[in-house]
Amino acid sequence: MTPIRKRRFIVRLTVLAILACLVLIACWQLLGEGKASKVEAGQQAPDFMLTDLQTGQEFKLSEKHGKGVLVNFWATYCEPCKQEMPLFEKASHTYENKDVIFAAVNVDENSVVIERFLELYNLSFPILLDNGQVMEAYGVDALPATFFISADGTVSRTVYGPLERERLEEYLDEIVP
Amino acid sequence: MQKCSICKHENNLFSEECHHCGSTLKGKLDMRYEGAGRRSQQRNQTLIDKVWRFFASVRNGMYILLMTLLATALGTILPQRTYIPIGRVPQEFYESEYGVFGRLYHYLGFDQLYSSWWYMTLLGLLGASILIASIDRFFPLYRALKLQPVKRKEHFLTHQLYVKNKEISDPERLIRQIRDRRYRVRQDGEDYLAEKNRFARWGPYVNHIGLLLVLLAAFLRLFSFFYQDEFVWIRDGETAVVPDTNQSLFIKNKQFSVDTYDADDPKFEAAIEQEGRSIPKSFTTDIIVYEAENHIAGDTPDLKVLKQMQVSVNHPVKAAGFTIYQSGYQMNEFSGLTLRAENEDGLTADFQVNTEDPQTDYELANGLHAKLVDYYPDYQLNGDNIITATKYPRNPAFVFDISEGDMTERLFIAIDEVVSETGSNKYNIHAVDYDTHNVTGLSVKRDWTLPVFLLGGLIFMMGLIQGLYWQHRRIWLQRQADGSYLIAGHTNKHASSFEREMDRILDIYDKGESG
Repeated sequence: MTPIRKRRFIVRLTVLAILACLVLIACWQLLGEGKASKVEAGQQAPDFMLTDLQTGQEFKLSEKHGKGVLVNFWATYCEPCKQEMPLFEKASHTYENKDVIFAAVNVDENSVVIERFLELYNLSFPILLDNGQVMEAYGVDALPATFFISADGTVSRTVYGPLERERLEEYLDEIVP
Repeated sequence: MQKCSICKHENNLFSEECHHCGSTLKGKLDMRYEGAGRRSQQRNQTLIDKVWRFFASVRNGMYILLMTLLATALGTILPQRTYIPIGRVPQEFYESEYGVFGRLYHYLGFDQLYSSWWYMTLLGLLGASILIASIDRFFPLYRALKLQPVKRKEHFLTHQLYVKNKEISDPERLIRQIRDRRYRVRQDGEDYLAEKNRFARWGPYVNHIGLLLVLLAAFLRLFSFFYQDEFVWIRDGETAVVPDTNQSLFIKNKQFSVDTYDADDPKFEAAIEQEGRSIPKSFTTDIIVYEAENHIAGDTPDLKVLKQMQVSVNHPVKAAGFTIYQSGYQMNEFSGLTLRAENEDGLTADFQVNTEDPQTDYELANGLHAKLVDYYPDYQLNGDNIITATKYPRNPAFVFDISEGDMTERLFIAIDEVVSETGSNKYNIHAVDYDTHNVTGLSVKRDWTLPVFLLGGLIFMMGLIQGLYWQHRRIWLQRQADGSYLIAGHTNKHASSFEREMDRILDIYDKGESG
């Protein structure tokens, strides 16, 4: 190749490479759109601090490092949530000894409704009353949503929709420290 | 290249007879790129050259443009997903509204066409075509015009648009004429080249820079730093976090208000009467915008007031790099109900129930005791069950135990109905008054791509004007062996007006000669 040909080749290669990069970046951005605000497996779980309706004490996620945490977003009017609550109640007793904590984040309802629900379902694990902020931080837009958080604070799995017993236990085993 | 007018064979620019049929080539020279060989037309050696050549072709560019136009049109047949009514499930919406076609439309992803990867790829190909086709043409043309000699081959001159052989005794005077018409003249020996408005040739390329900027702006829109579009519902008196701001931006709705047209105003009286209801004039929210640092979700935020302002329809406000628009409202939420309870003696007492967070026990003035047993903020009947559809108090219903001493009666109370669950009907209770609160819907947007779009549009227009309203004109004067001059002229557009100019120049020269 003559020097001028060589230069031309390099210029063409550079221009084409830049264009290809731009298109790829654009497609990547598009595919990731909407997911950006959602917390996904492998990411650090956003910290939160809410009051536990059962005990009246503060529940802060970052203080639970060293333990696995199951964070479930629910509401009393959400039908699938009602189905999985008894499963959580049962599992919470089994996994208590294995250092896995359950936390059910209620999406902004009033205490009368929740307490009535607790009586009905006889739940004992922490019920946290959100003001919309935690739901936003986790990018939750549909209920129920469950996050399995490992002892080091990273999200090990995210599940949208109700869980069955086998899957629940399988995922819980993964976050046992 | 020049085409033979008889056999259509493409011949070398400077050949005088056709290589194929031998006939004399009389046609005008193709001056589009100054006869400079476009490099992409040279022999391709590598894959890169082939790809380059594909994008350098205007024909391929036109195909890409056509495909982009078709795709863009396709996206306008049915509403895009962003514009379907809030709360409708897309799959169900398209099928029920538009039948099988709608279902197919949704299935193929045309309901989100403009943010599909393939549409973005089409735009990318279009951008590549515009950029590469321009590079491939601009640089050879620029160099050819910059380095053009004053002396040209006779064949070049005789194949121009305007050709004339003429005796010129005083070329200096002719050149003065030409200069007066704002030509710039270069001289080489006894030959001259006069040229004006060369910059008109750059019009298309300037125009393409504008187009590329518009495409760049569309690209930048994909990044939240340049473009963000959020929506928040905020109840009167409440503070909400703006989504996707890393919990750093909060907005408080101090007061939402609706202004209606005055029914007593003679101007509107008739119209309002005809409509049968008061007609809103504008919606306004008094807001406070806050900033929070290192906020932990759920915790009471440590808020710093950024700005306090009023936002109303068509009057957006700016804060924290965002523009806030008043873009929705709800007025059907209850904040409190006043219930009236009557005991067996007919003595009544009123009590207030907060529908957002009701307390459970109420001691009434007439000796009754009301205990809230269950609460449905947005009650609905689902078969035989009472359920709440949402958490919002849009249709509140309560279950109360009303007691006096040992007597207890369980009552179900909604806005417009009361059912005694125990069936004893000893006590009467019903809703007598209610308070509502408003919910304001605010769009919180940031769009830094608009200036880029604007700049692109401006440059596009500049290029268009530059290329359309000026013409690149050249006049060659070449002294022949016999002492006469060969005069040739070229313009890149508006040939007849150029010919008139040439004739006039020579005419004036001739008159000067005789006079």
